Amino acid sequence: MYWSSIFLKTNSMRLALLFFALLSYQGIAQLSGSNLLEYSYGKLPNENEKSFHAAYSKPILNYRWDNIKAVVGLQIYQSPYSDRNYIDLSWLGVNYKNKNWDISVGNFNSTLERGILLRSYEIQGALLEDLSFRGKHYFYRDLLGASVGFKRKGFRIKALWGYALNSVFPPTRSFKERRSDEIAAISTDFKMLNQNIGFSSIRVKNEQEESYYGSGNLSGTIIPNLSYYSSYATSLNNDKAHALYSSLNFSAASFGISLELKDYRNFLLGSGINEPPALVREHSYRVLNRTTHVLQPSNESGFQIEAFYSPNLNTTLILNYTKAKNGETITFNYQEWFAELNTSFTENTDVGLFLDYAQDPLKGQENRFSAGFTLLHKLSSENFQSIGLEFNSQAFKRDNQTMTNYVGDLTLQIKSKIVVNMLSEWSTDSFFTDSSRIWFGSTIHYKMNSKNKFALFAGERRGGPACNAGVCYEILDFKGVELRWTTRF
Amino acid sequence: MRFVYIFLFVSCYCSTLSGQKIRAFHVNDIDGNAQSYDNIKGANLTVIDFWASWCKPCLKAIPKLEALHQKYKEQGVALLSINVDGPRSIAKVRPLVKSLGISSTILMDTDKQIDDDLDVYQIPTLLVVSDDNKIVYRHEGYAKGEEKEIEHVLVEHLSKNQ
Repeated sequence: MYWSSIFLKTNSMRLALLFFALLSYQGIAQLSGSNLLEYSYGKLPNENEKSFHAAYSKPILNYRWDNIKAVVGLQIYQSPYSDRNYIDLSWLGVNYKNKNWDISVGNFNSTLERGILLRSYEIQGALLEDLSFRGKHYFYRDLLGASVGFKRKGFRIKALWGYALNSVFPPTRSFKERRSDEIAAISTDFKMLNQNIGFSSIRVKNEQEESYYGSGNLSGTIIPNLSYYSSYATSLNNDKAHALYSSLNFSAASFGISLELKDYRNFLLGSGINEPPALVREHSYRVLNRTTHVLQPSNESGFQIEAFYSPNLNTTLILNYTKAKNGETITFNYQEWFAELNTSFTENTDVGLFLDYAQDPLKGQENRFSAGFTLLHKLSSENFQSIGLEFNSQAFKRDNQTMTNYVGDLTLQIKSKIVVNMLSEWSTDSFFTDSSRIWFGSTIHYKMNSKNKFALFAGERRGGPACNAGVCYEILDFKGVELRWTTRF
Repeated sequence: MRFVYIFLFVSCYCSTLSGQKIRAFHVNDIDGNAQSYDNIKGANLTVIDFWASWCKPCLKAIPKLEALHQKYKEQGVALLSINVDGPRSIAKVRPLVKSLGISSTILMDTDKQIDDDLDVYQIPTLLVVSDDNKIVYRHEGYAKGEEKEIEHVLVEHLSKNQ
């Protein structure tokens, strides 16, 4: 905070701030912002700790002036445990963008080669609480440094340098721990005969290693309904690391199909700055989302095939088959078959059905059967009142014992303004309980207006693995009350 | 510190008066062609829909927005569907979109550059933008029937333009 006190104490800077404010008045520049505030009172149900109060806040301020955008954002966490508390300047950056140039200094996001070399992400609204550190922080991975991009008539080049964030570590940890990987990369692609050809190279440097990787990709359209993408990346240090990813897409009338192949060997870069395509379907159904196969970039090969059929805009049939192989001497073969139908039963009623069968030896799950349905019925067209019901069930064998999981979810909704949700889960999984266990929680969402939203949760939340927007992470159990206020201005 | 508070107060007040304006963006469409916002925006209004293939409410909203687009495109309303799928699911977007037969312009925001620029914090998010690039309406989430509310906004702003 030393630099900021100097910044604010000089008269020239004060004048600059007022100048920027006056630009807003003229409509030339704009200031906008948001805040996510979450108060909680509760504890982890399995821990021998008492319930405690905690508050997390994430104020962000954006300033736009013509082609320039500046951002500054804080993360604040307060609890009775002083070692978990922090105030952190988490976002500070400037971006200039026009038709040809894209220049960023400070915090920025970048993804190279579909995540094979580098992947930035932000799981919107997700707060991460790790069992080792406790204390909440926002779930994202960005770079702190600078990037320059240029594009013109089918040609694009980007160079970047920075320190990648390891999102597991909270802001209470040192810069060295949180951003241990220094990255320098260059990426270019150009269009020729309706095909895109791209090359990228990245250097990853940390206390343990200095590694270089290179990649090439080819993508385009063969005929109007048939397109492809193929990428191959390898280590330039001769350490037998490579990643191969290919996809082929075909569509005709109401039918679409996607075929993807992968072969990854020793391809976990640095502390995990990359995230190659997983080729495993990310399910929205709770019992399936929790048991999603997590990609092992150090050793995994396989394929995924997914077909879509949409006879009309309100009906979609999805079929998916996934196969993944892990290990060298001892191999684990993951397989999953999935079918889902979403349709409008009547004008006011939507129905969704799914069936899933999987074999997951890595998790010790044999013959995993899952099935469920969703039902959404519009009660009143005047206020768009609706009632939703979801039920998931799952059974599998582990060590010759049958484990079951059930989820029931009831939702009442008035427009997007008020949503009342009641969620109950029941499990006999020996990883969580000796006999059986029930979780029950309820959430009320209230959208006051387009700028202010509230969510109140009370009850017990089941933790475990979760996958969201292509990123898998661990959620901790929670028992208590949470109030979240999201605002923008 | 009081200068910071004065700055924030004056700026926020002034920003509220002028309404948020969007920066013109340049991204590729689903067929890999470079697109510029200025070239594809509507003559009167532009509806921008942020969606992802894994987002159930997004997929429910798409047919309704498609119907609105068909109804109002002759009156200068353009629909831009901005896809934010990441590396995990991006391969499925093209066959899904083609099988649904969507006629709107599909833009790919894999790096979430537009998403960040327009302060999108939830999927789906829908923006209605005026011909002078001001965001006149922002809607997060989708509930069955809400397309009527969106249509009301379109009609209201189209009548202002006439």
